Amino acid sequence: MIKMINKYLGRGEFSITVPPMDGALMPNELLEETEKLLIVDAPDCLAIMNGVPVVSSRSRVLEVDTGGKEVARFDAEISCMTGLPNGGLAVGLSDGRITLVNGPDSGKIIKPIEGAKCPTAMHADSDNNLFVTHGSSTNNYNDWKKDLMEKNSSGSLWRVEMATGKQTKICGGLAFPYGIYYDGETFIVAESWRSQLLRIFLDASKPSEEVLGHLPGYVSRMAPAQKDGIWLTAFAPRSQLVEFVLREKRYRRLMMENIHPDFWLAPTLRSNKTHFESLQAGGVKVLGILKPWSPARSYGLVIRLDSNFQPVTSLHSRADGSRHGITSCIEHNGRLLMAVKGDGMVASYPVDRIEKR
Amino acid sequence: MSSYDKLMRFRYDYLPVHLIGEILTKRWVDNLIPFLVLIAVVTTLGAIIPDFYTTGSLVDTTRQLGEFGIVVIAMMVVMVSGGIDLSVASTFALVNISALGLTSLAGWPIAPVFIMSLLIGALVGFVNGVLVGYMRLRAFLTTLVTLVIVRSIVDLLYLRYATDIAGKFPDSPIWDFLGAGTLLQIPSSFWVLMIVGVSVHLVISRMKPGWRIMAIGGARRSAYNVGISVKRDICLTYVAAGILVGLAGFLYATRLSSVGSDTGVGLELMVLTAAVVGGNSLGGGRGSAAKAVMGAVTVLLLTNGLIRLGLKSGGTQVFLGMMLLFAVIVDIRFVKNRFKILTKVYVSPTYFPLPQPPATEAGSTSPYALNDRLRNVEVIGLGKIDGPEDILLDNNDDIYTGNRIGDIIRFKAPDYKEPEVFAHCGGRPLGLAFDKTGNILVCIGGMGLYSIDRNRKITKLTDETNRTPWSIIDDSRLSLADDLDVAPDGRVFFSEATKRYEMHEWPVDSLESRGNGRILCYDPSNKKTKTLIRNLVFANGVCMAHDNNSFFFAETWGCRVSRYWLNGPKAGKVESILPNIPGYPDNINRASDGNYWLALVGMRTPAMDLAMTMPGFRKRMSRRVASDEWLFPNINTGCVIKFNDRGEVLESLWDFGGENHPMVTSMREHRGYLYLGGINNNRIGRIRLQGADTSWTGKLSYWGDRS
Repeated sequence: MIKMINKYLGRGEFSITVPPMDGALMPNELLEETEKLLIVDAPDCLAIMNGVPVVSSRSRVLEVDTGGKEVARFDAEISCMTGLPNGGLAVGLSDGRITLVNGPDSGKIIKPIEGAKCPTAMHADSDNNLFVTHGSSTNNYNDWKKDLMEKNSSGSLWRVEMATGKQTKICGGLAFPYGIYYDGETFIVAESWRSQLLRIFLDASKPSEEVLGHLPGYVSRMAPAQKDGIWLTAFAPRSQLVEFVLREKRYRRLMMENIHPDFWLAPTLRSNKTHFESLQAGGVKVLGILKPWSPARSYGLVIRLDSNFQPVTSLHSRADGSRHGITSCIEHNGRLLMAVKGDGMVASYPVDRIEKR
Repeated sequence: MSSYDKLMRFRYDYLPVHLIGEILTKRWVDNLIPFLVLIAVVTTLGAIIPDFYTTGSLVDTTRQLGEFGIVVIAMMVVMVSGGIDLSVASTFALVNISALGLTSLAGWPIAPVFIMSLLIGALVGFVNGVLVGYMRLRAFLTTLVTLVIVRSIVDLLYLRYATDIAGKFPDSPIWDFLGAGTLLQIPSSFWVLMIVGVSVHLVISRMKPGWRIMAIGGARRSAYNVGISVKRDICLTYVAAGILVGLAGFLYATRLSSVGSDTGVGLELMVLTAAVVGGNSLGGGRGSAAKAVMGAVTVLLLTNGLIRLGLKSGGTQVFLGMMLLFAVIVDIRFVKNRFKILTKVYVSPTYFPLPQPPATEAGSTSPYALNDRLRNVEVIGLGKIDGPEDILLDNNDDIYTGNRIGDIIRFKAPDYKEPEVFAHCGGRPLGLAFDKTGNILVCIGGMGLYSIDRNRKITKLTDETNRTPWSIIDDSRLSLADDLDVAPDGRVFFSEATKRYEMHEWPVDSLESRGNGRILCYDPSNKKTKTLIRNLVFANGVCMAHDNNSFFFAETWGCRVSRYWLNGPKAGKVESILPNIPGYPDNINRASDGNYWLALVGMRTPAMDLAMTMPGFRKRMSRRVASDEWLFPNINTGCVIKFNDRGEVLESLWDFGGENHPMVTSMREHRGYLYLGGINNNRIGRIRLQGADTSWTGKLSYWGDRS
């Protein structure tokens, strides 16, 4: 009864709160110091192909270190990639197909299954298996904003046997899984809309359990660190206004019906591009300055987790920064490479400088 | 119009729920609950008990009420200063027996007996006052002790003199009149109550002694720090209470003319209940004679009603005790939560659908198309000026502008290097204009309309207007005078942006988008101000047309510019000029080519426009989301447009990206340049206007002044 009253009035456990950025997640401006390694349109996913870091940009795969040399091109937009241990690259396309290129199985195409047409992250193991997370069963990769506003949780984790093309579903009901990491026994999946890391047991012996929750952003792809632990990216921040809009059914429906997605009250990879985007009170420029701590719909965040999945340190690009919308990161040659999709570049930062902090 | 649209319009045009918030801001709202309780009691008793309100019983009740009410007022006077006086009951009895004794046994005439009654009451009050006020003893225990002691004195007197008094009746017409007479059918004791009530009300609310005891009750330490002699004033409250109780006791004596052993027993409970039920706060600081009288009437009617209904005598006490408990609980909760409720209830967003905005995309054929014409403004005073909302130039080319901390700043031509404080007027200076003699007229947000002459002397022109009779908010005050312009005959037309919010909270008005603004006219010939146009949605820029037959005014959240005719066939009418602007219009000023400049402080966004059609959404947002995160009009991008008096938009100048001028609230053309200001900016901008008349200035256009 009290719960119902609280739900109606929006207070108590139904009040709108966003976890603060504190402790290991205390905001800083480290991402502003990163080097612009490659300026490219919408760099989305980073992978190591045959020992070389590559990045996906729309429908092309480019080498990061050689100034953007194209190594592959497709007829649809790329939604995720991963390097294969036997050589080559597995590429997930936005229509659900998975193709293999530049390796022994080059040219193989795995057809999509209904309800699994949105590959967001992949992990290849040494048994010629590919583990793929599909963000949603109804929306495409580029419609992630719509998926969030619909409060969908139709994502799933699949195992694909590359030799036979057979696909088995391991786990469903995930709220836009956007990152995958294998710790030797179980899979850790980054569930974006629930802002948490979930541990999924391969053989379904135990139910999935939350490993790290209440993160202040929407999490995306993860990468292992050379020393113990993981790098976790968050492509957009959580904000009270968006949490409020997520609880307002009628407003969301009318917004989705009548307004262009770029102008929704929703997180985005890069905000304030046009004057049709809405402002929040704290985002008003005063004396010409946008405050770094003003509420923002986009943000840059990379978190370093230790082997117990606890945050140790983090790199931020704040509201007035220029490295927003980081969807993927990878360690290579002592550098942390980050795909800054919001601001169109691949950024790089020496790992030991981060570890020292 | 869809049915939803019709329903929303009905709900928001005809159901004035926003008035609830306005009522809660009033000081007299404290009286509302006890008043409603009183009405409820009166109607319920009238319904349950037949003949409760016959003339005879009413006369008797009001006679009782006279004395009872005065004692409750006495209790209120003590409570308001943070104390309590339980001894009123026995003082009442003491005065009763003394008055009767003095008239019957000692044979004194009425007048000295009356004086003596008051003195006896004052004496007991003085004892209380010394103990509580000067010796800082706890009021509750001390007056409880006094209660007991005086009760024992009464008992002793009763034992000794009761039989002697009983046989005698005072033989005095005044005594009889006071006891049983009526004036205009209203009993005399009730008249006394009214006189006492009005006097006490005036003293407490309008005179210094009353303010002092309210201050002591509200914040004792602060009252002491301010210099009020707390001990003396507390003692005086007890003395005053004692005098009032003496008066009440005297009236009681005239009414009953007998002593009983139980006179006034249990009266303290009734009086306390009445005071608290009436809304006087137990902790002090809140109370009035009106509350005391309302509480007295409620409690008296209830106890009389209960007796009529046949409740046993003990039952009345139980009932009173429960009432007291309930009243105390309500009192505490209300005091704690009133401002919390007020802040939650006050913001009342309304249904405000806007038509589809004209296109503003770069490359579109619309005159509003995005461009970069303001990218290369020259910057004046970068970092040296905080918030130049409006800019004024005199014929020496000196720039005058207001800043956020209440100064009028001047930048001297030609290099505009260092600002100087021309005058410090306080408040938040907004719109500026010159009058005929070269004085600077300024609208100061939070203060009103002021004039600054060439010798920097500041004069207030007006800070009030005629009060709208049906408005709950006292709108004779100007909370946010915004922009102004001057007609040739000297009349000043100026806008008040919103009457529901103060200067520091003006953004909340955007959430409401109600017609809270108005246009006023100040006439220097008779120094009177009157309201011309009401119900404007954030009235902002005002500009006289070139031919001075009308003026244009902007409604910021209304996204429109209208024109008010002063002369001619349409005089007194409002005509729509720009009904659908894709942004939020701010100040309007004349251009040199016969047209007008308009600043758009921000641009409309689809998400905000949708929110404007959903007032419930905005209301819930205002309550559940932190104010820093509220959806806000996009005032980080502004532009300047030029329009003509036929409502055609001729051109627009943007600084897309907000590099130099993220926000433009005003522009002023002067000698071929356009000067830009913004309320949150730290600079003034200046841009050369190609092909503009380089001899045109505002002073020339308005006053023919080339000096």
